[in-house]
Amino acid sequence: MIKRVDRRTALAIGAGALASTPLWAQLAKTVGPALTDAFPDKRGMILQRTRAPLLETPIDAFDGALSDSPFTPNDRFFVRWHYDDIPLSVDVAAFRLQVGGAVKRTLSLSLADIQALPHVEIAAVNQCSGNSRGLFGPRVPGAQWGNGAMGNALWTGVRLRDLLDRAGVAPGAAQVRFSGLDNPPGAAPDFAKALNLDRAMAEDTIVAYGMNGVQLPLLNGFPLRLIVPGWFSTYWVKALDTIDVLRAPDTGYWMEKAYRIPAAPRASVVPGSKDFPTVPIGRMIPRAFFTRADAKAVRGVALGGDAGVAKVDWSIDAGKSWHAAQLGPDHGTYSFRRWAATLPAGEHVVAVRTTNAKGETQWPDPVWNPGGYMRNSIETAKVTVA
Amino acid sequence: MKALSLAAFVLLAACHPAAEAPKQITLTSQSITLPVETATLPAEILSVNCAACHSPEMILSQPKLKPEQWQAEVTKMRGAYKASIDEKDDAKIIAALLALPNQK
Repeated sequence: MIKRVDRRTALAIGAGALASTPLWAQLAKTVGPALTDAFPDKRGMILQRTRAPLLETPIDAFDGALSDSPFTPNDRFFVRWHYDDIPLSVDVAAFRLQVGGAVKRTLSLSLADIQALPHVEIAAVNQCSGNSRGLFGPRVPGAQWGNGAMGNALWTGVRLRDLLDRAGVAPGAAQVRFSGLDNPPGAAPDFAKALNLDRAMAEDTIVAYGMNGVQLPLLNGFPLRLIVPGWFSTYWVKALDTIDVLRAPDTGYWMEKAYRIPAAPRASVVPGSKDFPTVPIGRMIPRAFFTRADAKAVRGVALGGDAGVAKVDWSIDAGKSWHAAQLGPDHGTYSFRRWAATLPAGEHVVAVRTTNAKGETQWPDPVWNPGGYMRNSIETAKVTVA
Repeated sequence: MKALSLAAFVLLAACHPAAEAPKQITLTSQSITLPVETATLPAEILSVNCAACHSPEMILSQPKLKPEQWQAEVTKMRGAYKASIDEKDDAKIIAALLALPNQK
């Protein structure tokens, strides 16, 4: 059971009276659910739901020294499917990716066709829109993720625009819609997501067949997954088999009704609000996480959102003064960046925040919205340094 | 001059090791079997109406919700996801949800 940090507790960082029981310290005491090894090609995962699978990565799976790889092993990478009819078997010889809609010629591409195209590699954090939903206060319904509905991988694939150029995008195209091999139950809406044409054609939007140097696990979207670096995972369609170029914005359920956030600043509204203007969730924002905080090490991982991590700072005086953390090697704009702090002796509540290359940073007060999206408030940990 | 060129070459080689060319990723067919569900719901009206589309943990892990929040979930499952839940059963379903251990 993960206890939440309420609004007042988090606000106290900014006010100077620090939280009594930091969230991370509660998590670290392994009060969470037992870990499961029951899912194929996965080990040591937090079971959120068996069907359709929701598996969370325990936070210590991200831990490491500054020089350690910041990539999340495939067998610890989080899993999130919407519907229970997911692909359990894929024949690489028979699989085809269809590209159609507002194009000059439709394509039906085999995996060999795709692998014959120029390939690119990009390090990118894949973070669920609802990562940390379980920490919202007041609580909101939905998958009660802690901070582990995220992972960082080196993705190998082809540029989406190379596929779209081969098909020839017709004049007047507005969006590109993506869907995969999973199927809805009965008359439920097929899971499909759409990107505006400029985001689809961006050079870092790729169709990946590799994850950390090998093919993807089926549970993470084998054989192909859309990679939209800097954007939330809802767009990273798994087992991608259909690409449709649209002349008008997608009006399907998964764009019009689901995965929407308040249009208000920081996607935050007064708890309980209804009928506020919304927009589809999109880009990510900066976050820093503790992966360890004890007498021997205070360290973690940071992500910059849709811009690189410029700096990570720590504070032990409730945010009155901030000090630069050491940063690990830079693996690119969209990757995790490792950080470590060297604290003076004493008992501290340490806060840590990321600032990205656009100057966006984190704030002590948590956001609230009914979907439990976009949490990026400053995390704290209690630590005694000898 | 020659020594300098050699030094430059060595430096370049150090910065651009041959390993930079990414290795080809081999794709092979995959099949998996998912684990059997173990969690159960304590009320038949919940098993019948909720567990067709998802396993019970989804319900058992929810925070304490108000009756109107549970009603909104049931309405969403019926409206957005076309779950065959008879409106006549809503009151009984909500009562059973509110009686779950995680809702106390």
